[in-house]
Amino acid sequence: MDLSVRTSKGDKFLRSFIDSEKGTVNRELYINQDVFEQEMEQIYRRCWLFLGHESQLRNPGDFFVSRMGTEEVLVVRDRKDQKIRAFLNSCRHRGEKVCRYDQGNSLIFTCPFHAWTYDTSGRLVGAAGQNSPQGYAGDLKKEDWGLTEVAQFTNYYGTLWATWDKDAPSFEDYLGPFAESVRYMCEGSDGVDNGLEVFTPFQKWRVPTNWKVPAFTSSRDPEHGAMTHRSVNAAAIGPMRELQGGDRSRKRQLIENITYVCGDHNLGHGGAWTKYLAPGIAEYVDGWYEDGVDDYFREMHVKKMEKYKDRIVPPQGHDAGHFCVFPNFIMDAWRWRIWHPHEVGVVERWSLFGVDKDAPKHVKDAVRHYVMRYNGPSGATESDDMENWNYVYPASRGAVAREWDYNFANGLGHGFQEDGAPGALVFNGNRSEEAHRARFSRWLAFMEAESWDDLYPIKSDANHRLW
Amino acid sequence: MPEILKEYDLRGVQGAEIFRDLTPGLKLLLDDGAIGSIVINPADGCYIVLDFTDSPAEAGRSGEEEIVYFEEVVGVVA
Repeated sequence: MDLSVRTSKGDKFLRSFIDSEKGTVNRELYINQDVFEQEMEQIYRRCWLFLGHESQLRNPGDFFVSRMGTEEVLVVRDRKDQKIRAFLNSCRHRGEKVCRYDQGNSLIFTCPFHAWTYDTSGRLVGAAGQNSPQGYAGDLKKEDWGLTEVAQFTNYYGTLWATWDKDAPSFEDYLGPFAESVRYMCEGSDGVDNGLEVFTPFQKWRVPTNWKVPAFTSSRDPEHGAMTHRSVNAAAIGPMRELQGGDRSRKRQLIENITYVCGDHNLGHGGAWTKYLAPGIAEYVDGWYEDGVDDYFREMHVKKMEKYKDRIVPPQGHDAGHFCVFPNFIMDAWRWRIWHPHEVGVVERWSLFGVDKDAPKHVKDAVRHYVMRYNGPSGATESDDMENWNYVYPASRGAVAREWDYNFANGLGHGFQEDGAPGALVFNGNRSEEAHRARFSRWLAFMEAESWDDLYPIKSDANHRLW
Repeated sequence: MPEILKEYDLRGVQGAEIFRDLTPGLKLLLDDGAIGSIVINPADGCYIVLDFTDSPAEAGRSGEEEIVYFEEVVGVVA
């Protein structure tokens, strides 16, 4: 369907804001309230969204509050069947939050307004006046008033995902060619599936910008690195010293490969894509400052080398990842970044950091200290990036500024598809903006689609590629 | 009518704190005459889980666990 957007200069078709020939996107799409509200309806109600990690819910009754777009969801491990479920954090009586804590363990969730109370399976088990002759007098049908549960939920190698749309495809189909990369990134450093836990509580902070600024274009954005992070790179403060902080590419170059920027225009996912040409894992390279940490990782690495000795690792292997799972989840080895939209000009960033769940304490401490100094809200790289993200929004929303287009033309016209490659996976030069363009192909498809019947992969012959 | 234990006065502000701290095993009398022993107290000052031992108004309730709202509780009994 042709979707129109209300602007200060009258209604305009959504498609008119994207020029696929020139490679431009009008700033209106980042600052317009009408666009934002349609995004919540068309994208965030339909997409599979990242909620958290199973290591946050080890025990029956453990819970945490996550987000799906602008709405909060309560994720909880039931005390009886021990299944993990996700519910809208909104009481069925008057809509108050039934849980106002970030995480914890609880027997029940009691709404502080009228005491409607739910157990850990989301069932309504109590309400003020439920048995009073002057109240419900026992007539409240509790089975009809449980918490609103997500339509689909999955635990994918420890990562928890959900969608509000019962007609959405399976999560693996949603990921498409990126599924094996997500699985790989959930491995422990010994190569065992679902080998991680995440540090809790998460680091969370809000940034005054539109959610698409970081979510769509920070993975992969090769040209920003040299400029924005020049001082960090020069200081070589990464976990692998010169390998990570300075010459980042050397480690992954130990196995013959070709590195692209890629974007799947049908799925919206994409970022870095390192295609390895030989099986195996390179020898471990020491790099940690803390005593004993390299000893641990070297030992784990031997096990991983054995697993992959005859296999080619997935495209994001060897810490070479950095890609976006559409619309708002960026996976970068064991650094996971989620961008939760709050308002058209406010996004909440969550940083999750994984570590081997069976690692000894001194290793977990070393990894935690690293991610805090490197990637936290006061970490070296994040403060670099936030300078840019913060100022993009106010500098783009004025009466004059909003008329102009953003340029997404880096590498436009040079993308290619490989024979037999699935869907609309397009490869391009390692410094191109192919992944950003793929995000907008998928974005427009979602915005215009009436239902999943119009969208890949349910519509298997769809071609959402805009440019 | 079972005897209500005076050391557990559930009225007023202090009553809310006493209710919050009731321990499993204590028996509660409800306003419909039912009696149950505390299985779990979530310590929210609001609800409590009872295992019903006697329920004159609803015979099938005996032996069942149920979450009970504080307003329905008359007192702690021996």
